[in-house]
Amino acid sequence: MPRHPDAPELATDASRKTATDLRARLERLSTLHPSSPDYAADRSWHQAKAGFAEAWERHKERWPRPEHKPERKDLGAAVERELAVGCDKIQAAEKEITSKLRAIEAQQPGRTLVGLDFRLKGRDRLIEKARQDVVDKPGRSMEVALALMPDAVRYTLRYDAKDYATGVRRDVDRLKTTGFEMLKLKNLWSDPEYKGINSQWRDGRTGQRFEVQFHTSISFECKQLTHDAYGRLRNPLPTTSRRELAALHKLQRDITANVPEPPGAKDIRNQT
Amino acid sequence: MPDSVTYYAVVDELSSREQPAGVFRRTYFDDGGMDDEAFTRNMVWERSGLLASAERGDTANDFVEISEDEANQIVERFRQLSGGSEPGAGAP
Repeated sequence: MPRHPDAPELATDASRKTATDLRARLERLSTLHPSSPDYAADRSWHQAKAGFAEAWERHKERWPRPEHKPERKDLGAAVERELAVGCDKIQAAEKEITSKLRAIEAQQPGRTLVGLDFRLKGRDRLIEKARQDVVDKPGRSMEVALALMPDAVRYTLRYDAKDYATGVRRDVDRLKTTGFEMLKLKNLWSDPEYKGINSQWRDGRTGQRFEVQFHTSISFECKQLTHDAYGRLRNPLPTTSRRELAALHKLQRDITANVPEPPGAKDIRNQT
Repeated sequence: MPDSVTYYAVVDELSSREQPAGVFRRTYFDDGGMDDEAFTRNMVWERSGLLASAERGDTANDFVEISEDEANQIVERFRQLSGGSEPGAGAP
């Protein structure tokens, strides 16, 4: 029976291909475009960012933090020498590790190493962190604290949310086949104050530990936004009030609650 | 007056829950404030950002919740290992 001239066209191979092309084009749309599948999540994030910026300004006005440089005690010549040697080793190992990380990055487009300028913790910060570790752990030495520091060298891989879970799994495999030993993987996508996956590795050749963080664009941005607030929690002054500490944690929780969870992220298991 | 105190054994690669590297406590107060402290090499409880770092993804330490009694036992062990030195000595 002939079809009515006003009847919808039957799907043909050509029209099916058009539908496929259209889906691909929608996926490539900027997330800021209302037609983008991620538009609602990203718009919510942009609003949350603006709210955080205001809240952080109010926080700093209520609790101004005086300039504070930790007193650098003389540790004695022998310890200072050991620390200098330790820092030199870290610096030398970093060059080799970074070259291998760049090679891993090049194996797949669509995700990038970000923050490479900050991949090596500054010498003063290394020693300060080792010193604090020794204070907090009776019986621990500075040299051991420096050797065990997981993030003297650190890297961040940033993914599109839709590629995150698969991308992280593939890059974990790539890191292993490159000759790095995974010491720990910590999945924080269920945590209230920080979203992402952090991992600790050891380079088989140099023995140097390093950290790799796996983020989406938004989780990375959230980490950057809360950096200063976290700095006050990490290094609380004796004069920091208890109410300010509670307020800092709330600031982190409130903004972090707006970080969209990428599909499959929570299924990536912790490893110790 | 603290509303609640939670104690933790600080466990890293060279330690265990039974012989932790450190002991920590988080206190919430009735007035809405909170505090984080480690029992330090100075043999006193001092403010510390160690748990906040772990909550931010630092992989150096695990925090295992323990009872106040266990925490006191760990504190006593640290005091004995330090030779019973006066609080305040030995900080680098």
